[in-house]
Amino acid sequence: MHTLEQQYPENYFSLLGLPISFDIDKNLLIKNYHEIQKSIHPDNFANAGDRERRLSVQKAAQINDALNSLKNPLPRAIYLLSLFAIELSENKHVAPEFLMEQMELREALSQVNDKADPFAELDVLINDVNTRIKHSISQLSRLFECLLATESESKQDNIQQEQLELITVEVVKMQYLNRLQEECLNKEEDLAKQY
Amino acid sequence: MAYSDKVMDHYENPRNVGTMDKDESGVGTGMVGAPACGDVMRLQIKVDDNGIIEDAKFKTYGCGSAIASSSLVTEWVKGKSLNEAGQIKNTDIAEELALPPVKIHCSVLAEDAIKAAITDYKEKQSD
Repeated sequence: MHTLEQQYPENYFSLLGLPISFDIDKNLLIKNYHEIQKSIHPDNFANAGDRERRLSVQKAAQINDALNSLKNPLPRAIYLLSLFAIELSENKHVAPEFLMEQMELREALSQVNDKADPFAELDVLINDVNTRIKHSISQLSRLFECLLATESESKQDNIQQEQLELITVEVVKMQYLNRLQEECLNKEEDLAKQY
Repeated sequence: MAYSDKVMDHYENPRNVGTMDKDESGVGTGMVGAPACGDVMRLQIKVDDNGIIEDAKFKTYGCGSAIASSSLVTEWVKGKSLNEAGQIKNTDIAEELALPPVKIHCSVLAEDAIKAAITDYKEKQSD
């Protein structure tokens, strides 16, 4: 039924005991991760042969990669896209209006220090950015749900291409938003040092 | 990462930082970004009646190489015709600033920005 799962039996989701989906049960992800790590801990292989030991080390690395790719929404979305053979290119263009908005938010962030209450000003900005990120996540959630639903039904290439394009644009936007969020947190640290 | 002296010079003393009124008819605005690093760059040109770029401004939120690339381009385009400015290649920028391979995309961004600004200006004139 799930062609993706057939195509990639050893995908990061299945490695960590989850179905392929953008929405995940994060507690289950962490729980499964710890259980697998425990089962392949080097201590368990103290008396094992070289080959088994080497495989357990490989598996541990693979499981770590899987966790890092799945635990946060942005890398998870990028990983899902990679299952559809989509690589995010460096020069993927988003609407100039979106970039303009990003520019304005960056400008607002750079002017926080000049305000009467920089912390309050920064809080407003951080809330704004967080709201935008939440919005992006819910968009991605909806889009991936549609994509994965049609994917298991039949080959509706046109619809799938359209959905993938929408997802790619949303992922690119989220890359900017995540960067902005990082910059906000850096600013928070700077402010904390100053006052 | 070690920046070249020229990058450091533009980074510490960026030329032509600022904003122009994007609604003014003689102003062309280019907005570009690099998603992977979240850089955003705005490059604006002011064109006189003879089609010569009389002024250029930029604002870039990004790494030192992105700032230096856009700063350099604003210096280069002043006094040039739109045609000449449109000929600027990212390789010229990368060479001038001695950018390492991992930072070549910053020079590409600056080339895209000047091209976008020229396109924006031309579109405004045909309106």
